[in-house]
Parts: sequence; structure tokens; C-alpha cells
Amino acid sequence: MKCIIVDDELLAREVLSHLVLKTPDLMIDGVFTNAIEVMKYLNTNPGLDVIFLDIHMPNFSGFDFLQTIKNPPLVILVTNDKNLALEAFNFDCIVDYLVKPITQSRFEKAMQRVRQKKAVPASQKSVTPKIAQEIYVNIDKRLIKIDLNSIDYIKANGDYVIIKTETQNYVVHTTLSKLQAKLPPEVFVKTHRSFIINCAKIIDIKDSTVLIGKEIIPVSKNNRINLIERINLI
Amino acid sequence: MFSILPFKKMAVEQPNLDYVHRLSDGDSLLEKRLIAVMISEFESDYKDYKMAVADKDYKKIITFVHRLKHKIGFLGMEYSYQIAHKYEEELHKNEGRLAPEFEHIMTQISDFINTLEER
Repeated sequence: MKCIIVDDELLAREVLSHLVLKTPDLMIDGVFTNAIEVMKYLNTNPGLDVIFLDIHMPNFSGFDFLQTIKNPPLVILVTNDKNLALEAFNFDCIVDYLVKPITQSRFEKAMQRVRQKKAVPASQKSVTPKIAQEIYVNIDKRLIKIDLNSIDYIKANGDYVIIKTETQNYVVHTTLSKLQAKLPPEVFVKTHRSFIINCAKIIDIKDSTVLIGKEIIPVSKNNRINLIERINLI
Repeated sequence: MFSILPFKKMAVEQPNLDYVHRLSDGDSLLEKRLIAVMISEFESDYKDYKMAVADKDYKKIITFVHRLKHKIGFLGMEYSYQIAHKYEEELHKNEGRLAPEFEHIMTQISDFINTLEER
């Protein structure tokens, strides 16, 4: 795979170059100090596989660049800022988000994501699997079927959990972790020690909350990255 | 909300080369090159930061604090990194209450670089 590195900091370019050179299936086709140079490069160099792109660059940022180019190759963002992940995942071409200083193991994980993305045929990339499963819950000695698609979120409440669906609430005697084990992990994500949400029902996400219907659900710091990674998959 | 904990931890943590040792994996030439680049960029960025502070040019101050954050992380100063990040956030609001703490971090790194250059 061919890649380029775009970063205004020499130290970051040196570290990335070293990590790329240690990766057998990756070769550097260019190293740039600003995104405007890359615009020119892309016009004359088709077939690029990956861009390692710094976000904070003077005059023309990584995000400015992504908003400008058509049909970008896969992009791994590189930044000093941990708080830009949400904005980053607004772009389909972004496969990962590396925070400087980049470690070997984190770099390898990002490359695994690139390989996985490259391996998926284009015709399958935007297909979202339809969720048609259900769960049965024991309420007052009756097993009641709940369509998973109808669940907005699940809240822990002492020895019980409250399953909030589009039409009603079910109070079930169980724990959040036992229930979570029965749910498809690609759709249901724990955002807080007391909340599991259905990612398909998210309206918007702020720093420490998600909006589902009219409810604001907390997102703890520890679960935030999981949530962001999950919505990217969906 | 920002915890007071990083301030306390910042006081005891020291710059170190653990990250570059792990990255270079015994390649001493690579290690020397990365350290040389780090020193050169740190000194240049810190000088530009001080000039921007003297000029009260917030846009430039933010730029150089952001660049210096990378060097703080490179030197394994996790809590100082958090202080620098908070300082950067303050600067975006045209505030700079954490300037003395940031200056303390810069002094720590400058002193550390001096010990490296003496070797």
C-alpha cells in the first residue's frame, strides 16, 4: 500500500516515517508539511491508499483539506488533541485517529483497520445489517417478547433494569451486565455504569451525553471511545 | 470538570525518554535523531511561544502551545500534558490563567534538555 504523511511538525513526520518503514506492506510515496501541497500531489498521483494527516496545521487544517477533496483515499488522522474524535468520524474516509506521541502498538492497530477496510468490497461497505432479533424477559411470571429494534435504551435501577422502548417501559429483575450479554454488541453500547443505549436510536452526541428521543443519556469518559468506535462501524 | 489531580502529579513527574527508547527499540541512531529533532523543535517552538506571549498574540500562542504539547507527551509527562491541554483550552477563550504552570513545565523540559546536551 502507498501512503503519504502530512504534518507541519518535523518530529511527527520522523516518528511516522519510522513506523511506516517498519510496516512491510506499506511504503511512503511522499512527505508533506502542509495540506495545500497534497492537493497538488493528489491531482497527479492516483492510486494512493492511505494519508496520515495532521489536523492542526497553520492556514489550512486537516479538516479543511478533507472538506475540499473529492474521493479521498483512506485517512488516519494524527493529532495532539484527544477531543476531536467526534468531528473526525463525520468523514467516511477516516479509519482511525492517532493521538501523538504515537506508539508502535497503536499504529499497528490503525493499520489493521486500514487492511480490514481495504478487504471489504465496495458493494458491502454501506450495507447496514437489519436487526431482527428479539429478547424474552420475565415479568410477573410471564415471558414477554421485546423487539430489539424497538429498544431506545436500558437503565439500571437497583436490583432491576428499565428497558425503555418506543411505546412503553419494562421493569425486569436482572442486572445491566447480564442483559448486555444477551444483546448484539455492534448495536447496544454501554455508555455509563447505569446505561446501555441502542446506537441506531442516537439523535446526536455531545461531549458527555447522547440524545435519544427526548432523553439525555450520560456518557462516561471510560465508555466514550467505545461509543465513538461503535457508531463508526454502524 | 477539570481535576486538581494533574497539578499535584505534575509537581513530581520528570521528563524522560521512555517513549523514544520503546519506539527506537535499540536503534541508537534513530534514537539520537529523534532526540535531536525534538530538542531543535522544542527550542524553536518555545522561543516563538515567548515572542507570541510578549506580543499578546493569542492565535500564535495557541499554535505554539499546541506544538509544544507534542514535545511534552514525547517526554512522557502525562500530567503536564493535561495542564498544557487545559491551558490551550483557556487560550481559546482568551484566558491564560495556567500560564505560570505551563512556564514551569517549559523550564523543566529546558533543564532536562540541558542535561541531555551535557552528555
